[in-house]
Formats: sequence, structure tokens, C-alpha cells
Amino acid sequence: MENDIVVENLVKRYGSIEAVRGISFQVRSGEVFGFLGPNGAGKTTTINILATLLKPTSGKAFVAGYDVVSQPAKVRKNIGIVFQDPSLDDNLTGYENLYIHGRLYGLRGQSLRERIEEALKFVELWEFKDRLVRNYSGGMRRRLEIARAMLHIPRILFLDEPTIGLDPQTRVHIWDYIKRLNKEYGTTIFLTTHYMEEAEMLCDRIAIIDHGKIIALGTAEELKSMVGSDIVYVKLAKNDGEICSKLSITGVENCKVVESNTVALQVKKASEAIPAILLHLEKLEMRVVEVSYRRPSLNDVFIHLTGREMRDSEGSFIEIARMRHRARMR
Amino acid sequence: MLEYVYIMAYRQIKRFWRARSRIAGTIINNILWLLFFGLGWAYTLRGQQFQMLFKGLDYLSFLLPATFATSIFQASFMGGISVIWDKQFGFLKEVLVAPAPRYLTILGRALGDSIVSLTNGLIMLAMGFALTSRLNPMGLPIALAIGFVMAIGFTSMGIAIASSMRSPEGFQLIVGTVTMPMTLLSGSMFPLNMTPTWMQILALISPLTYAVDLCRYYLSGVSFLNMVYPWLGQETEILLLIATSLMLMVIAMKMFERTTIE
Repeated sequence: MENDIVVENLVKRYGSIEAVRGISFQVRSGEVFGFLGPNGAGKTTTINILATLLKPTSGKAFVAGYDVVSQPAKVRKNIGIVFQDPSLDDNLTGYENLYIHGRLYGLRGQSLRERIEEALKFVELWEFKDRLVRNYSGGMRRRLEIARAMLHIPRILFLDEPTIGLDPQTRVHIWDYIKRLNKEYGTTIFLTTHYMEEAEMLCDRIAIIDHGKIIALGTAEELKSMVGSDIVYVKLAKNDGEICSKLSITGVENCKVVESNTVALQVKKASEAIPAILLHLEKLEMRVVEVSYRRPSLNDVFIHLTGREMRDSEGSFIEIARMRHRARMR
Repeated sequence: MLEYVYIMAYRQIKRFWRARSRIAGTIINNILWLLFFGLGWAYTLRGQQFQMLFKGLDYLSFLLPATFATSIFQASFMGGISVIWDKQFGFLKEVLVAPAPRYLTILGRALGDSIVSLTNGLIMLAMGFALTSRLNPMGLPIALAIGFVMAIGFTSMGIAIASSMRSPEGFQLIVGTVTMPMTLLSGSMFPLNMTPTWMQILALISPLTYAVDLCRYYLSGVSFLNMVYPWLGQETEILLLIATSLMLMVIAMKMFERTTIE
């Protein structure tokens, strides 16, 4: 498969601070590739280098087959970018923002007008096209920036934290646009995020980046399998210190008392193990108050690799299926 | 090529047009200045003996053409601040990442801002024509051309300085410290031939001095520079002005090419 982005041992140093410390990766044509990592991990620096806005200290980067240092003009023609910080002209209307963008990318006349209409309709802003951007909401601005970045139908689209600071509903909308862009236009997408569920939802492959280094790279499933199995939490009515020895049934790989009356059981597949566990506990005549299970999240992967939580991460990424088992009073 | 210049000029003009309050502010400022400063001195220096000072001109026809030039200068130079606003509001990144060559986009920007500040100057001049009947309307086309050349030069100067700056406050500080002495030294408010030599030399370094003198010559018919320095004819002054503006333009292009988003 063809690669749209090739990065070899890229380094960016600001004085004595090394923001990017020798990263290498490839992004395939038509792929959605994500950089997942905490703030300050070097994500934005990498995007700015790939978008020709910063010069790397050392290393090579090719975008659409062109060297970002020696052929910036050719790279710029092939990319679209949505910056993390706003970059619209507040004193112009949505339409005018796109018009100027199109002209800067060499579009004009009827074809430019058609493209603007298509892009604005794509992000559902056509009816607001004549409103000044300063009167747009945060979500509308973000959508307008996406429309602008795709206006010239770039081969590769860069999205730097595309949903940062947006409300949940708007985020879902933006995710939908990104997926459709990738499907309908075949655009290669490179995005950065520090939201686990965003990376998981959108990306074909994810690179986890921390302190300027890629510490893991693969599909979400591949990354999760580095941590292993599902974890089932069982809360019992009574405290029992010996519980783990009593629970040595097939399928349970590991058992740990996490709170006084809660045990964490490591299993291959929670959905199959839970009935067996409950049946077993019933036989032991132990009353169960609550059962929940958790699939390993990308956050677990991050913790597994770095020994700490990803900062600023939100609670919603943990895929928790809570099942309440109300033990019937005898 | 030219389409990139056009689109950035279009943007600058559109933005200016949107900022109606700014336009109103400029016009009110100009009226107040002309009324209180211009008329104030015009009445003070009314007698025959004073017209000697101004080579036969009354004070208003001495001052008004120069005001046309200095108002263009101030508006042009100040226009550079939009580069800093664009840095702060992020739009600059949009321009920097576009495939359009940077030297062309910045040229368009200078062009747009020049047209805006030329409009400023024209408003000032229109008031001048209303205040006195001694200005020569035949000199208007060439005065406009001179105004345009200097506007390109001074917007470039503003852009060049703004390209290397981060905060609007810092830029305003520079504008403040440069604008005032240059406006005074240009001979716009008093005749330069009466000033000490060192001041005249300083004045000759500033391109604004030539612009003021040229506008006065074509609108009122008197050149003070030419009287003090006979070798300094209008053609030489025009050449010097064009050369300076071109030089400032090239500097602005170079400075802007080197702008980063850091």
C-alpha cells in the first residue's frame, strides 16, 4: 500500500527542550491515523512540521511524496489543516472565509462557488454562510474550519485536536464529518487527540506518543491486547478474605481483592465468564450486590506503558457495561 | 500570480469596510484636528507678514496638502498592526500554510492597506477642499499617485516591523515613537527652511519629508525643499520616494517570508 506520510527519525528542539525526540512512522493512503497522547507530548509540533510551518531540527518527513523542508510549496498544495487554535477571520462571513481560502489555493469562478456550497452544506452551515464568523458558536467555527480545510479537496487532511473544548453533541457531529470525509473523498486523515474514545472511534491506527516519543503503534485492538484481558468486578454483601481461593474456576486468570468486599477477576471474555462466576457464587451461597466489567481501554494501555494516567483525560472513555445483579432476599 | 495579490487586498479592504466604527472614528478625528489645529493656526497667522513665512501661501493651503500626506503615512504605518492581530487570532497560520507564495500574499496585504489609507487621505483632502479654495484640483491625480507610492512604502514598513513582533502593545509603542517625530520633521506643520541645519538633515533622511513636499508642490504650488536645496527638484524627490517605497516593500517581503508561528 502507498504511504501518504513518511516520517524518519524526526527531531525538533527548542533550545534545550526536545519537543519531538526522534519519531518514525508511516501513514497509508486513505487511512485515518491518530496521534494519541497527553498535552505537551509533541503532537502539535509534529503536525506543524508536517504542514511545513516549522522546520525540523533533524530527521526527514515526506508528505504526499514531497520533502516538507525542500518542497514546502508542493506539500502545501496537497494538504488541508484544521489547527488546534482558531484560525478564522472573525470579521468576515463564513462564505468569505472559504472564498479567500479557495482563491489562495488557486480555485476560482464557478467551480469555487460550487465547492464552497458543497463544503458548507457538508458541515451544515450553508444557511449561516452570510453571518459574520464572530457571531458563530464554538462548534460552528470548528465546522467552518473543517469545511475550509476540505474546500480544495486535499489528499491529506491534518486535524489538530479537532474536538477540543466542544460539547459532547458537537463532538459526535464532528466525528461523523471526519468519518464521512474519509469515506466519501478518500482523504487520508492525520489527527492528534488526547481523548481516548476519539482515537478509538476514528482511527484505523493509533500511535501513542509521550514526551516526544512514540511508545506504541497499532490498531486500537492491537494496542489493547498489549494489556490483555477483560476485568470483572464483583461486589459481595459480606467481606470474605478467602474469596479468591474459592473462586478458582476455569476462565478466571487472576483474582485480586480491590476493596474490602469487591474482587477484580481477570478473564478472557467477560460476557462468557460472568454467568459462570455468578453460578459459582450462588452455589457457595454468597450474595452478590453488584457486578460490572471493563474492557481494557487505551488509558490502560497508556498506564501499562508509562505507569501513569494520561492527563486531562475524561471519564467517559471507559467502556463500562454495568450490570446490576440484585440478589433476591430469601 | 496576481490573483494571490488580489485576494489578500480584497480581504484587507473588506475588513476595513466592515469596521464602520473605525472609519467614523478616523473621519471625526480628522475633522477635529483640522478644526482645532488647522483653523487655530490659520487665524493666528492671518497677516501679510506671516505669508512671507509660507512663501505666499496662507497657513491652510500650506498645511492641508501636507496633512493629506501625513494622514496617509499614519494610517499606512498603523496598518501593520493587522499582521499582529492575525498572529493573535490565528488567521496568519491559514495564510502561511496556503500554497500561495508568501511574498505575493504580503504584497496583496500591503496593496489593500494602501488603498484603505489612501481613502483616509482622500477624506482628509476633501475636507481641505471644503475649507479653502486655494488648493489646485489639477494637482489631485499626481498627489494621489504620490500618496499611493508612499502608502505602499509605509504599509510595508509597518508589516516588516509587525512581522518580527508578537504583541500589539509593542507595535503601538514603536508606531508612537516613530510617527510623531517623522510627522513633525516632515515639514508638514512648519516650514523646514527656518529650522536649524541638523534638523533639516534629519528631515532629509525621512521619506515622508519628500512626500509632504511633493503633495504641497502639486496641490499648492510651492516646494520648500526645492528652495533650500536647488538640486532637489520634483523629479529627484519622486525618484527617491519610489526607491524608498520599493526598498521597504522588499524588506517587508523578506521579513514576512521569515515569519514563523512560534
